[in-house]
Amino acid sequence: METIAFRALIERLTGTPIKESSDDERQANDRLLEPIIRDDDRELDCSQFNELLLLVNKDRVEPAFYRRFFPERTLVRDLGLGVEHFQRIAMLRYGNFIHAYRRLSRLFSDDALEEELGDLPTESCDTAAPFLSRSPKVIDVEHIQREDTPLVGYLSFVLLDREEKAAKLLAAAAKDATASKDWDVYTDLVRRSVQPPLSMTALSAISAFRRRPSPTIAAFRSFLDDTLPAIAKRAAEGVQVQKIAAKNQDIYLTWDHMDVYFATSMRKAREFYDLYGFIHDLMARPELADLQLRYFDPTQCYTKLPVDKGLVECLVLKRAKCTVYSVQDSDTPGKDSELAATLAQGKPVIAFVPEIDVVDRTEKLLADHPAAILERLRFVLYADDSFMGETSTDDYKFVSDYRELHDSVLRIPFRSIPDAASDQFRATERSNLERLCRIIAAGEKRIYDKRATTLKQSHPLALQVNLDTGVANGVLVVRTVEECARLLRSVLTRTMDLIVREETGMWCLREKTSGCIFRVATKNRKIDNCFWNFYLRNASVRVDASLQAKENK
Amino acid sequence: MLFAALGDVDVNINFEDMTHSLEELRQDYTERFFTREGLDLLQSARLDSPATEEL
Repeated sequence: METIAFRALIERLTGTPIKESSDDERQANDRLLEPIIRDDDRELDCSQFNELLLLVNKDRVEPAFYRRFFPERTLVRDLGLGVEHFQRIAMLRYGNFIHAYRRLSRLFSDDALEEELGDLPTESCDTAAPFLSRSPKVIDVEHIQREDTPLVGYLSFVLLDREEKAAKLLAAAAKDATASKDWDVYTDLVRRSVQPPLSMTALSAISAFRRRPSPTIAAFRSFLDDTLPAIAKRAAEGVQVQKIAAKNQDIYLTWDHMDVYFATSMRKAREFYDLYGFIHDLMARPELADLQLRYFDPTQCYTKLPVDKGLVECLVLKRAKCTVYSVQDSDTPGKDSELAATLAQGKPVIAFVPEIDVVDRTEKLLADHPAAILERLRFVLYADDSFMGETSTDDYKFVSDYRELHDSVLRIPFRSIPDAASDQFRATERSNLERLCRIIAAGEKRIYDKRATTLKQSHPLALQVNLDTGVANGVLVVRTVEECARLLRSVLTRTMDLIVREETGMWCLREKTSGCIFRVATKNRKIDNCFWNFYLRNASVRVDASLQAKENK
Repeated sequence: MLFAALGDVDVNINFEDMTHSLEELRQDYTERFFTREGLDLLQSARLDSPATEEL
C-alpha cells in the first residue's frame, strides 16, 4: 500500500484530515510508514495499528474496536475493508464519522460496543428466528373480498347511500300522477323534494337517463324498478362489510406484533383494488411466506370516526417496524405524513412504484368501467408532461376527436352498481377503447417512471432525519413486487445489503436491491458541525450519564 | 357483484357523513336529505326505509 492510500484510509476512519505541522514532518512520517505498509501481506494487530495511528497524529483505538471492524488477521491490504465496515456502521448509527470514531474507539469491551451500537439494520446472522418462533395469532381478521374493499372507504359508502336515497326518491316521484307525464314537472318535483346533499345525485341521474335514446319517464320508472333493488342489496352488503371491517380494526389493535404498515391514499375504488392486489401478491411471495408477518391492511378495516381512524393509524405507525408506501397518481397529505412519521422514527420506508407493462395494463383498463377509463384518460392528460411529444399525430388526433366515451359516461345515472348500457358500450366500442387504453397505458408508464426517478434522485423529502438521533434516513424505491418482497425481508430480518459510496458532497450508504440512498454523511462541514452540536453532543452527555449511573449502582 | 364506484364521482360528502356508518346513514330518512314534500312522497310510495332489498 502506498502511504498516500494509507493516509486517505485513516482520514476516512477518523473523519478528519491528518494534521502535521510541516511538510518536513509529513515527509519524515512517510519515511517511517512506507517500509511498514509496503508489504500488502503484512499482518497488523491492534497494537501495531495503534502505533501507525500515533505516527500520523491520530487517537489510538481500543482492542474491542479493532476486533469489531477489522478482520481477525488483518493484512495491510485489508485495512480498507475494515475502514469501510466502520463507515457503514458509523453512517447507520450516527450519520457522522468523527463522533463515531471518538465514541466507539474508546469503548473498552465488546459488550459496551455492541450495547452502544444497538440493533442495526444489517449484520444480523440469525435472520428469521424471531419471526419463526412467534406464537400463532390467537385471533385473526376476517377476510374482506377484493370487490368489497371500497366499502370500507368513506367516499364509497357515502356515494352508495346517496344513490340509494336518490333512486328511491326518483322512483317515488315517477309514481306521481302529474309529474309522470312531463320531464320538467317531474324534475321540479324532485328538486323540491331533496335537500342539498342529495340534489346533485338525484338531478344528475335524471340528466344522465335523459341522454339515452327515447327517454320517457315510464322508461325511467322501469329502469329504477330494476336498479333500486340492486343498489339496496349492495348497500345492505356494505353494512355487513363495514361491521366486519370495524371488528378487524379492533383485532389489529390487539396484535402483539406489528411488522408492516401500508401507507396509501384510498379514495377511488381503483385504489382499493390496486392496494388489495399489491398486498395480496406481496405477502404471498416466497421471500416472506415463512415469516408469519403481521401487517396492517387498510383495505380490511374501518373506523367510524375520522379522528379515531387517525389515532389508530398513528399507533400502528409507531408499532410497525417499517412502512411500505404506495406511490399512486398523486401525493396526498395523509400518506406523505405517514412516510415522514416513519422516517422521523428512524424506521425504513419502502416506496413501491408499480412498473407498468403497457400490454398488460391495456388489458386491465379494457376490463374497467367506461367511467374509470375516462378518469384514467383525464389523469394522463393532466399529469403526463410529455403526452403531446410522445403520442403519435394519429393517436393524438384520435384522443382529441373521440367523444363517444365521454358521452357514454354522461348516460350513466348511478355509479355504485354495474350498468348494462355501459357493458353494451364497451362491447360495441371495443376497437376504439383498445386503442385509447393503449395510449392511456403508455402515458401511465411515463408518469410512473418519472415519479420513480424523482423519488430516487431528486425528491427533497426522499431523505429525512431520525428526529431522535439526527441520522439521515432515505426512502427505498422499488418497482416490482418481487423486489419489494426481497427488500422487506432484508429490512425485517436486519440483513440489508448496504454499499458504502463516496459521491458528490457526501459519503452515502446505498441499499443494493433498490439502489437508493439509505444513509448519508455530508461533507459540508457547516451542516455536519451543526448536527453534531444539536444532536450528538447532547446524546453523548446522556449516554455518559447513563453509563455513570450504571457504574454507581 | 362488482362495485363500480368510479373515478371522478363527485360525491357531496361532508364531515357529518363521515361520522356515521353506512348502517346509520341508511336509517336517516329525515330532513337532512329530504324536504317535507320529499318525505311524504317516499312515505306514500313506501320507500322511506332502508329495507327495499327485502321487498
